[in-house]
Amino acid sequence: MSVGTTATKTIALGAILAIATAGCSSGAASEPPATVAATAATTAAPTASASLDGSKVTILSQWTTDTPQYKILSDVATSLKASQGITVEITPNSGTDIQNVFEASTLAGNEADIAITPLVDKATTWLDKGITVDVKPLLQEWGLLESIKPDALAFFADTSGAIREVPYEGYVWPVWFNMDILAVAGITNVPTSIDELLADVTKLKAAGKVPFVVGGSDWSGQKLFEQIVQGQLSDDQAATVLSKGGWCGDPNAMKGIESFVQLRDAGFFIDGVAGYTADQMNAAYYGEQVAMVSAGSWAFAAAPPAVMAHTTLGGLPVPAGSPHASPTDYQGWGGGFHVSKNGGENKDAVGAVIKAMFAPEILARLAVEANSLPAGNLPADTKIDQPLMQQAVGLGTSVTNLIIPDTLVPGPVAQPMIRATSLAYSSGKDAQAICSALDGAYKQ
Amino acid sequence: MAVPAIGWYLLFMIGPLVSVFYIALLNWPGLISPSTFTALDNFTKLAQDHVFWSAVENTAIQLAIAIPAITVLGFMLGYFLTLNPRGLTVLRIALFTPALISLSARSAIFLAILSPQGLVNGVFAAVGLGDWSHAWLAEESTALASVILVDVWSGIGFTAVLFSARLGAVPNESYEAAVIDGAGHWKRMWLIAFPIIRDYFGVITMLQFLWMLFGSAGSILLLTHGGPANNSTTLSFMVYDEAFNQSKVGYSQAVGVVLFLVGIVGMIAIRRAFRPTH
Repeated sequence: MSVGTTATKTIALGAILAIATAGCSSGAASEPPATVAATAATTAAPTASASLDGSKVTILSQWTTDTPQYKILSDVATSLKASQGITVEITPNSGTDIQNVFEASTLAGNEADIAITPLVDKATTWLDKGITVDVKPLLQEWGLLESIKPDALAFFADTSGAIREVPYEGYVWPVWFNMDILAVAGITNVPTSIDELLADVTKLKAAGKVPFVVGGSDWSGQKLFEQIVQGQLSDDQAATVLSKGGWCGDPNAMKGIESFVQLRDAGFFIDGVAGYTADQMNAAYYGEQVAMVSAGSWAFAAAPPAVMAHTTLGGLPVPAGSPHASPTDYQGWGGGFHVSKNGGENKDAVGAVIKAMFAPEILARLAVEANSLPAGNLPADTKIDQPLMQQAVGLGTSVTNLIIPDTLVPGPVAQPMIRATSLAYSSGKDAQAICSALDGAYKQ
Repeated sequence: MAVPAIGWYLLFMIGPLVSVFYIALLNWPGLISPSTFTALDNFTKLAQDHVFWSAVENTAIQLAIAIPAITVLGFMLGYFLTLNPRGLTVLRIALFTPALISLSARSAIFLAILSPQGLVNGVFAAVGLGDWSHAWLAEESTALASVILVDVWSGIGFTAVLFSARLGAVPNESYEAAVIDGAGHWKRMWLIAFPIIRDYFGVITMLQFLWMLFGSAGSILLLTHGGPANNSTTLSFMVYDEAFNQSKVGYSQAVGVVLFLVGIVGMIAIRRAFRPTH
């Protein structure tokens, strides 16, 4: 019996907010929702399309105002206003809040046409719940389907072949090695096996250096934990355990957790790692307080030039007997364009925005200014001169790309999973306690 | 004349409250999804949910430590203020200031103080006690205690100002006889002042209890996210987490019903405990 009416839902939302978060803020990481309306370039030639002139597209964006992606999107909005008369309203909203904001606005029937957020957490359920639309027919209609990389389309496809969001920016997530700090400890090559890594940890600590930093309390710590465990799992095994749980009952997953515990207990991580966040992690590496970090290509731009100069990118070393032949990394697809039901009804104007974002010069800016790997083809003359980006695209077969956990871990499990992995960074927790916490996150 | 007010009250106060009980009977996987009526299934699951029992335990610990600390220390500070100490105005402002700091700002301050490279660990390192350093908000043994500490810090001063306002109305004659009998401040505070304002003490205790019970989700969301694992998850945070992070709306409201009942029982208990004796 379906009883979920909009009125009931609205009352429910109020009731939950009232009882759970009286007087509570929406989260420290959230950005004040400043709505930015693209203003007309009044001097532009009046070339507005008759069919779209005066139309409007609303965008809820995870790209906050301080990001290069936001600047690119804003410029596209300004250009569209001038050239086609389309008003683009961008509302930036960072962190996990964006998904709650999008769902709440959908409940009110007032959702943005486009939501820019990766396919993680609740966003993995949006197409199934009917609050976003299959973008495959839209891409075909807009003439973009053939110009998007097949692996990007495959990443966002569900089992029925529907595509859950328009792929846009890709990332590489390697391990960064500060070769100057490693050299102080007499290490000249990056480690490729866990045994080598453990030996390097001993040398670094003997030299008074901190080996590794990660945000043990947030998503960055979750990802590193999963990456270490995946060192003992084939992609198929990883897909099963990540999507269904059963960590304690999987011998290979347990071996992976034991690898993690071994590293942690050997002093691999910075002191107090359980309390670190991704921002603090980046700051520690940028400040050359640690020898190694695992961070995605989105962090390249902020790296100080001196640090970049002696940073070598590589993979995370794998244990003996690993199903993977080389050190591992993640390479996947981040922020893309979810098209809401409203957006589906406004598909011509939405298509104009998305097509503009796939213009060759815009993709080139995405690569050069934001250090993102676009889902579309870059112009041949695009010159990527960011040193770390150059290294990242050259990693090639020296690393094994692991299956990405984000689309496998069920949406409702994502946040409990982060809490469970945060426990793993506390000293004294053995593999059994950690796997129990992980399995607890999958409770129905 | 009263009909509009009663209608307004029923619509916006009673309506949401009743809806909590109704929604608790639904299987509702997210506000944007359809729901199905499942009777008491959510409560059956709740009884078997280790996260729920962990939240019950954490809530009990939080209330058992924070409420006495805030009310007793607040009362003592309030009494001190009635003695017109030097710098009273500055002291009142200092005590009231935490109440003027928003939850977000307060949490940001304490994130900086309690982070691994924060003020507390920095001080320990500076005085040669680096081994005492912790990731205060992220370790199993310290996360909940840290949240309680922040709540107590923010609650004591405000409560002291409330108590001082009430204690200021206690007639001086009440103390004078005790002074003649040689009673010190401790005896005057607890044997003279406390019995006189006993009912007021009960009201403050009840308010702190309700604020803490229902409002702890905010501090926990901003400081620990309920972690590590579920070590700082309280019932209030669980209502939020199940609804907004795990898309289990009906289940979250089952927790909400428990929270509501705990609130009612607690209010009755506090009211009885501080009922005027004469």
